[in-house]
Amino acid sequence: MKKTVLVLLLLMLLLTGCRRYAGILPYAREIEDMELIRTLGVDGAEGAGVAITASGDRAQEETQVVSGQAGTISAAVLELQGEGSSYLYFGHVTQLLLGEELARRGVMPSLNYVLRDVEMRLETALYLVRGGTAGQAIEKAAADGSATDRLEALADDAGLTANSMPRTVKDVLAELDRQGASFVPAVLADGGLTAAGYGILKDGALVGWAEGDAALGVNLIFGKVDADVVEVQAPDGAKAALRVVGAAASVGPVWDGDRLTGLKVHCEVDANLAEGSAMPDEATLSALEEELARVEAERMEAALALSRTLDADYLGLRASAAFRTPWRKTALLGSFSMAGLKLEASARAVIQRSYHADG
Amino acid sequence: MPDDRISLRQLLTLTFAALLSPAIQVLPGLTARRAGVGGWLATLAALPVLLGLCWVLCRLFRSGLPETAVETLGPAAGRGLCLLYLVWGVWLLAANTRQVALRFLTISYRNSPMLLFLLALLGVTFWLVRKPVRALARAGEVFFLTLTVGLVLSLGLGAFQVDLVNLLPVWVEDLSAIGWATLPVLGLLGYVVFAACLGGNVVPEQEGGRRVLRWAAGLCLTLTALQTVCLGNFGPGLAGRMDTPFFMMVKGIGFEGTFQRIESVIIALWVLSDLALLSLLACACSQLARTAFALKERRHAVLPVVLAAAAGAIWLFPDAFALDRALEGPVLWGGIGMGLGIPLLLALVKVCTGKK
Repeated sequence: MKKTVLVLLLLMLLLTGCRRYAGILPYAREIEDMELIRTLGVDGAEGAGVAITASGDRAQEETQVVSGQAGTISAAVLELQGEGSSYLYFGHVTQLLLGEELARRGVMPSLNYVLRDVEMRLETALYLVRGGTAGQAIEKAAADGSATDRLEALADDAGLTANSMPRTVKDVLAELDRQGASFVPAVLADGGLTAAGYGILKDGALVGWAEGDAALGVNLIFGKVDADVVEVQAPDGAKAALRVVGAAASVGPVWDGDRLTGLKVHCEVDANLAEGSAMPDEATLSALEEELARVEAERMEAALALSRTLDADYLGLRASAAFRTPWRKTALLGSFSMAGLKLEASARAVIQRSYHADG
Repeated sequence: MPDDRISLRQLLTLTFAALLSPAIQVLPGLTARRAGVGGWLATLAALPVLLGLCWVLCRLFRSGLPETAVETLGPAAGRGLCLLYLVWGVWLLAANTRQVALRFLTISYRNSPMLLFLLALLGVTFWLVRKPVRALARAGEVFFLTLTVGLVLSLGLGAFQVDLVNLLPVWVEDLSAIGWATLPVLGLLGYVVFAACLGGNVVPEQEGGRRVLRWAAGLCLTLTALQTVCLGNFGPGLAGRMDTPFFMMVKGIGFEGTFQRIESVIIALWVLSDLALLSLLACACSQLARTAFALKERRHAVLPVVLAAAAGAIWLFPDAFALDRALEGPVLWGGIGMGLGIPLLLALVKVCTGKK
């Protein structure tokens, strides 16, 4: 018994961390010696290499930005480790930015890195930097705050602006597997990381942008509209502001016999009268609803036009249609192509109420 | 062995806890690769087979698989069959120990040799198995309770992130693929045969048959829930590319602002399932060795079994890729043959020869 206790006590010496380099137990790291990386940027570099830019936590007085360059992301990340005085920990990365040039080359190596790396998470929000590099975006944002703060604010306000929505690495990887195409919110490489619509990915590479009405249409189709304001003209010529507070879209297939010829997207839009006559008559209300439905249908048409032009089902229309007609799933899901399909959008708007200060 | 009896409930809880360890390796990755969005139905499709297997094991193997083999086939052939199962069991023990040690290594972010984890696992397994079976069964109950809490919590939170487009639509044309996807599930259920090796220690119960069938249905429903949540989170393509979709799913859940890294707790809890599996295999192997080599006591076989498994874990698999290939190929196909095929044949022989 005494011998057993003695052996156990000796074995416990291995757990103390005193023999840190004994090669048996994992390294012990003190939290104060670690720099928590929150935003990671990946750009293309010379000779098919990659450049990595990382910025730290907002809790620190000054946002530290480090960068490295190598042939692969793993090697570039290792180079970053040698740059700062602390150990860089990537387990808290919440945003991944990809530069436009790298995205055109292909996003899969970056997304697969997130998938396979033990510290990174698939729930990391993904952004494309339009007309610039992720490094520029992170550096400029760090000059007055941090990229993390800006992107978190952007994600929080996405429903209000109705032309952007946060997307995770998981969303994009799953969609690229399922429908061969996806979309990612885009930001500009300015200090404020301004929202710039969506980048459309097809076969793992950036092929186009959805901006303006098309970006608004994407949000409508996905029902990501919390408080968008649409300005329309009332029958009496006055301007009215309609606050769109909800949208629900459905996709239906159009058949010619057994052949899929098109897809129809219909959206039910809920809105409130924010500005204009406080008590509109029925004819005025009906005219406002029709006008709103027309505007929203046009926005969705713009998003659908991109799908047809780029031949990319980035909105997942085929999968949505297969939900309604599962007995036709082979015809609907047997291909990713949108070429030759007639894509139509329609909307019906309902104005529920007006706003009054007295409730 | 009047002083080493366990209840049927204890054996079933230990087996349930043990099956969760290989389940998260196999499901839903392998089923998704075969059946796409319909992969989550594979465990339900396998339910009739599991019910049949449990019925056979419960009705015809009451004295345990080793004793039944000797009774049915005679001493020589019976011991030969036990030896075959022993070799299979030790190989499974080696493969699973290596797999679990590899997982510990990955999680600890370190590229050091895995020998420490491997020996620690087998050391604890040895400590659990060399005691009477009732001690292991008691530990199994604690493991089961802890794992159930962890599983319910993680699946409950993971369910909020399920996207139905990853699970539907499933239509008639998917049925053949779903049938094909039951093969890995059946391979996984092949581990149940090692629980049958401990049948001789179980106190007979009047309602034992019903309890076993209820357990089988509960197991299939739990595995279906596991598949539904994991597949619903990632979709078949992404889940098929992951090593352990369940842990990846757990990485994405947590209580915002309070307890966001829930995966650390869940992954740590799964060590209990790993230990339950290794202990069940080691215990069953020692029982098989006792019959095969006519040993006086089961515990005399424990050390050789554990040492053989340690040697196998160290030398049989040159790298993680070979281990993955083994776990996705021979282990599953062998599980179907050894876990379902041979017990059914043995039951058939027993019925045909009229032995009770």
